[in-house]
Amino acid sequence: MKNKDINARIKRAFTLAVPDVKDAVIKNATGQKGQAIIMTNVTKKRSVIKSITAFGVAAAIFVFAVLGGIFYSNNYTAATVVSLDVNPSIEIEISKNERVLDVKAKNADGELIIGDMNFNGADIDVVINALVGSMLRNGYLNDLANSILISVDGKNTERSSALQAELAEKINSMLSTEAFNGAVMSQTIDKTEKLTSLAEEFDITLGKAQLISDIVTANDLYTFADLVSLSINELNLISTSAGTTLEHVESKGEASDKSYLGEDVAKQIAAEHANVTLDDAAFEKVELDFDDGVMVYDVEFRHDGVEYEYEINAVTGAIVEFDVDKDGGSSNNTNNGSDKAPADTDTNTNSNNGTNAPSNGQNTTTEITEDRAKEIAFTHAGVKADDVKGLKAERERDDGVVKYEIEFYADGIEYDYEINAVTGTIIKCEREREGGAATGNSSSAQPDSPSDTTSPTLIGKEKAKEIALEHAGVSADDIRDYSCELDSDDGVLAYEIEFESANVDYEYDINAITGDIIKSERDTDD
Amino acid sequence: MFLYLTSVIEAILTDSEALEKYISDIVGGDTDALGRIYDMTYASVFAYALSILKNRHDAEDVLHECYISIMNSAESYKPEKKPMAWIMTITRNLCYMKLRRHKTNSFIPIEDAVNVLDDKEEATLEDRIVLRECLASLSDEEREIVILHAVSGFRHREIAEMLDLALPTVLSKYSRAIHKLKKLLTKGER
Repeated sequence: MKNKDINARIKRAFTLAVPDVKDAVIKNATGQKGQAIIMTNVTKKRSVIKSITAFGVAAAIFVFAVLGGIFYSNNYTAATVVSLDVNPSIEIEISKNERVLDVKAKNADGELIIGDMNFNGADIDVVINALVGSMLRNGYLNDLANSILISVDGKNTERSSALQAELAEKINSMLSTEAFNGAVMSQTIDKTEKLTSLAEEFDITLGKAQLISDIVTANDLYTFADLVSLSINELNLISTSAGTTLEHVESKGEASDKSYLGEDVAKQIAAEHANVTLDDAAFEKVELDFDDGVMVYDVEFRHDGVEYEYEINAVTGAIVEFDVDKDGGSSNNTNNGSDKAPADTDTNTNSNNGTNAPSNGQNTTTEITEDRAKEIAFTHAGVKADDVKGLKAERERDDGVVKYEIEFYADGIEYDYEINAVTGTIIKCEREREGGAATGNSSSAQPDSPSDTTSPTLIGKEKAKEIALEHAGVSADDIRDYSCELDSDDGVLAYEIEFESANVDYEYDINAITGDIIKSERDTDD
Repeated sequence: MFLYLTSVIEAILTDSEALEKYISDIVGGDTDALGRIYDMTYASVFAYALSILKNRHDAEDVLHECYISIMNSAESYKPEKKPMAWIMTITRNLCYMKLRRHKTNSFIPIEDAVNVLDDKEEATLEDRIVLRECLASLSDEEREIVILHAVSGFRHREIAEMLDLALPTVLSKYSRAIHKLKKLLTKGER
């Protein structure tokens, strides 16, 4: 993008942002001057005005007292509590007028989100905006975990429902402008004693408690305690995967399963282990599930009259359990993922929790090791362990959730991961260009010769130009205003190419290593 | 008749010359001239105020106050061919006065300012992103510089003078800001 384009866009956006107030402004400004002239004539009438104003003031005070009482009750008595849950949990108390009285974090993540923002007296809309914005900026809502739960607990059920719908819609549209799609779950709270005591016992918001309660009621596989440590995204995935209908919770959008292997990979793993070709397997079920503290894929398929059932760790791909059912015989195997037993052998009871290598000081058998957590982070970031610098890893316990905090640098980018130690899911992922965007006086063009010497695997500007021209279907002789810049975005090196041909403006982003066209645009000049 | 004259005037004179003429017209008692000045400067004033205050209500207040101030100070304007700079200085002073008077108004999130575009039919998603990123991702100084350049068309040299900064400082802050914005805006397009 050229500087002049950016400038034009900035000018446009800010010009559009000006409110239509010309008449008021001019009236104010010119009227003001007029008033100044009149004022000088008023002094003689002062004494009459004085007594009139005294009476007026008394009356005004009385009226204000009455209004003040109404104002107070509308604005200061707590009417409703709105809670937000993602991983961070936050409770917002609002008055009848939907003005915020208090904002409380229910866990440490929530406190991080609130930071030092002060909301008292603000409109609920503004506060929701600020909190969701903060979650986005801090990496709690992203590609990998996009679900948010909003719960409204108020005395007036009609108002609560209306508020719930309005806020859910608002958050939905906020998230839909991001690069990923959000999944918004919303509900009004049906405050029973049981719910309150569960929420208190596990120290979670009423909202999360009700969601878990709904899932547990609909699905006997789980107990309440099982699900307490899961994030809203995980809870969302479990309930949608199993096709459960929840009593109180309404859901828009789809929970992200991008931090998991995906159903296709799970199927592959299962089929391979069973020594069955993927195409020959008749899959009956592929579902994301939560079992024994681990997110797994439940995969079931038939082949040649044999029924196969697998439980595959959704993050690591390790086979947690498998079951083969031939007519007349069944064998149940819990298995360590690394040895592949051919499907026909039976009584091989190698019981072992699939994800774990025995290690030091990890207290429960259902936790992943620190090394495994690092692996997960590196794989996700697309870096090799050898290329990583400044590695820091810490195991932490936060409101009952045990996680690994992993930080490292690679290729000029700083990564920050939080990984659930039990399920291996990536709770949070942040990336930042090392030292921020400041690179001194030069313009955005990164000279590409230094980069070429350190990473000899770049395709080069000439090749990139070829790829772009070919895709555009134009020849090098027919183009004008050609520019090509090597740039780096989120760790992906790409050539940014722009040119014009006939009446069309072309723009390409070409992956500098693979030559893939990341982005292409064409703009016809009318 | 007046309209015809003004369009002729604006066609013949440069923007600066036209503005100066209108300012002196105000001194002579011509209040319509303020309207002309508004048409030529409202975007610059509002954008600049928004860039400093980050808050649309305050920016709107300043928009009002600015033209009142222009009316009242027109007499003391010295024609030095820099009427825009004069107006921007008025704007900036009004903004800082506001900041001094109530400091804690700035928790109001950027979204509130971006939502100003809700009422404008022609505003696209990209406009929202541009507005948001300018307000959220640039430092205060970077933002002021970018707005003065992109919206009002000031040269870097002029900006350096207006903000009392060294020219190289303005240049490097400007290019850093544009670099940031380019990244953020192209990311949004993916």
